[in-house]
Formats: sequence, C-alpha cells, structure tokens
Amino acid sequence: MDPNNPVFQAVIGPFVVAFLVIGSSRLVGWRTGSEVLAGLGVTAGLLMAFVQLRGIPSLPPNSAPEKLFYLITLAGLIGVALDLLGRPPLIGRLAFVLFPAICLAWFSLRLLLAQPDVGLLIKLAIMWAGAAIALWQICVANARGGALAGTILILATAVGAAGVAALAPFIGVTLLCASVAAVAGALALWAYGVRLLVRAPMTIGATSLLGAAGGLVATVLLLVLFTASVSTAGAAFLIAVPFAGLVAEPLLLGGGIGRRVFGPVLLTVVAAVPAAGAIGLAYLTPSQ
Amino acid sequence: MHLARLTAVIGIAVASFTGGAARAADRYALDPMHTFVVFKITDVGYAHVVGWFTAVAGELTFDPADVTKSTLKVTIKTASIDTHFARRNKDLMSPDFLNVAEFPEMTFKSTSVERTGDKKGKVTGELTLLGVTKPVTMDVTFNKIAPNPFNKNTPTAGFEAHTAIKRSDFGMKADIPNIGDEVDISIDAQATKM
Repeated sequence: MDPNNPVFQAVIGPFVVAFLVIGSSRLVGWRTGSEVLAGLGVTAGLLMAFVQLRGIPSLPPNSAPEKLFYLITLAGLIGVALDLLGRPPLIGRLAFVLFPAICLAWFSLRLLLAQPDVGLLIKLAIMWAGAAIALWQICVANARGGALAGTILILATAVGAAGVAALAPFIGVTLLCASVAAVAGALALWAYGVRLLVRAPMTIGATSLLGAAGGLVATVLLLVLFTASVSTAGAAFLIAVPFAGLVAEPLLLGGGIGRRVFGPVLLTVVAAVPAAGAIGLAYLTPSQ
Repeated sequence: MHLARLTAVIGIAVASFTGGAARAADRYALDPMHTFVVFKITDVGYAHVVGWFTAVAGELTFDPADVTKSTLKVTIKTASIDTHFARRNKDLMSPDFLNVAEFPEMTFKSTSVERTGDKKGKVTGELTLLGVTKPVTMDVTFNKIAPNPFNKNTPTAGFEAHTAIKRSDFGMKADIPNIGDEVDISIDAQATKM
C-alpha cells in the first residue's frame, strides 16, 4: 500500500505500531511496566499518525493544530506518571478532569490575547465541562468494567467524532480520530484475545487510557474550537457515548462463556448507538 | 529685484531636480473591485485547483520617477477564499489549511523594489501567513498610470505580479504531496490615488 495513502497513515500504520507494542508489553513481567509500555504504544501510534499527516510540528508550535502533537505527548506522559505513582485515585481522576482545561487554555491562548471576550470564555467553560464529563465517564467505566470497557468506549467515541469531523469538514481531525479508533482497536483486540484465551482480564493503565482518550478529547476540542462549520449538536452528543459504559458492568463481568464472548460485542453495539446518533445529528444540523 | 528673480530661478531648478517633490510617492489604495489575487495548486497530479481571495485591501505608495522608493502593504481576509465549490472552501478554511479562526488575515509588506526593465521590476517583502513571516519576491509588471475616465479621472495605477510560495514554509503541511506544496500566485491590481 502506498505510504502516502491517508488510510495507511491514519489507520493501518498506527494500528500496527500499537498492536505490536501492546503485544510486546505482554512479555514484560512487571505489571506496571507492561501497562506503561502498552500505553506508550498507543501514544506512539497517534504521534506517528500526526507526523505522517501533518509533518513534524515546529517548536514552539505556531498554531493550534501543531499544539495537538504536544498535547497528545503530554497525555501520554501524564499517564506514565500516574502509572508509576500507583494511580492514586484522586490525583488520577483530577488529571483526567484537568487535562481538557490545559488543552483549551493552550489552544485558545492566541484568541484570548487578540480579543478576549465573555462569549469565548463561556464557550471554553462549556467545552471543558463536556470534555471532563466524557473523560471521567470513560475512567469510571474502565474502573468498573475493565480494559475492554474503556477501550470500546474510546473506539466508539472516536468513530463518532471522525464522522462529525468529516461532515464539518475537517479532514485532518477526521483522520486523527480514525487513528485513535485504530489504536483503541488494537488495545481492544488484545484485551478481547486475553479475555477469551487466558480467562483473566487484561488491565490497562493510565498511560493507555489517558493517551487514547486524552488524545481524542484534545482532537475534538480542536475541531469544535476552530471549525465554524462543525455541527455543535453533533459534537455535543459525543458526550453521550461514554455513558454506554453504564451497561459495561452487567455485560462484561461475571462468568459464563456467552458473556465472555458476546459481552464485548454487545457493549460495542450499545456504544455505537450514540456514536451513530452524533453523526446523524451532525448530518441533520450542519452549521453554515 | 535681481535677488528675488535669482531666488525664483534657484527654486525652480531645485524643484525640477527633485522631479517634482510634490508628485513623489503618491499614495494609492487598492481598488477591491479591480484587484484579483488568484492562486493555483496541483491536485493529486491530475490538474490544478484554481481559486482566489475576494477580500483584499492595501495601500501603495508609488513614485513613477523612482520606483525603488515605492512601498506596498496588502491585507487579505483568509476567510474570503473561493474555489467555486463551497465544501472545498470550508475545507481550505479549516485548521488543516488556512485556519481562518486562528489567523483571520494574511499580510504582505514590501521591503524593497528593484527595477529590472522598462516597466518591469521585482518587489520583495514579508509575507505573513498562519503567523509565520517569510521573505517573498514577486515579479511585477507596471501597466500604466493615468486618469481613469470611468472614475472621475482619478489617477489610477495598474499592475500585475507573479510569484510562487511553498505552503509548507508557512506550516501548512496537510496532504502533501497529494495536494501540491508549491502555490502559484498571480495578482492583477488597480490602485486609485488617495
């Protein structure tokens, strides 16, 4: 396949990198080290997609899209720190809530310095609240339902976001969301395989969770903040996807071969409904 | 009397030598109705996409007697891009390309003018696009300057200019090489004396 093909750059390449690194992490005997390595595979896949699609960003970054590269990196690094610290619950969840604020503050810095206005500040506050709620819900679902819950929700949200971005149109974000779906898919595939073959749940750490979910949130915030033609309703409805995790526990946990095999499939279907809803809303309510 | 006449002669001589300082470096405003900034870029190697910017404003100080003293300043609203296809326009306005929400304007400010022929020259200046400033040189042809009979005989200057830039130099790297890196720019402009 042509390496300049966007599908290769956005999906196949990141999936392969993440899949191989996550697989390698299974060989690491130290659980935290294994989780960190898997998470680094996720971040590496996303950064690889970014560089292939947009080139190496300047340092310091000159524009909001270039800042996205460093925010994806930051998400991975915060995740590593949390994993090595043993994932203290309060600090961990606080990091998930504060990360969107960091993204928004840095993205909007030029806008705020050029023309600070109350309308923009209110918009930023609403966007932060929505992103924080989504990240928090993914975190909760992962804690309750395990790795598969978190990764399936990230995958579904990423697919929904890709659809909303494609309709905006903002092709760069569409492809980056597809990259998040690809690396989340790699994680989910391993988690599912381990679930079926080993019968013990695979765990993912904050490096993977914040790396993937944080990267996705930063990408969607970029879309909403800088694309006037994005459907606000469609983008807002993406917040509903992580709430599909409310059914993760009954679907995924417990014994029985049926639940082990089909539970993740059912969760994927449930999560796909609000994702499709977001795309549908974006199609029906386009901005000018 | 003799002294007054001598003073007058000296004054006329000085005025003639300076080429009519009263006429030097007149200010002209670009006429938005008759100014066209057109660009061309390759599209996956099949053909070119052609488009233009419809919101162009600028000021020219022009001295026909010594064109090297002329200056040009142009501001273009990036959201005014038009490629005759609304969806492509939106794509080009997105952060992938012109990022109009973050960078609503691009500007050009000349730094030097070089005469290369009878009515030809090179204008070098700083182009600021996506927050990045780089030197750009345009090949310029001066068409004419004369009272415009369609505008109350207001002195009007007409120019055309050509240049090419690499969009990646300004941080616009999305979709290279499928969408070309080099952008050909042609400008046809009329400027009306202020």
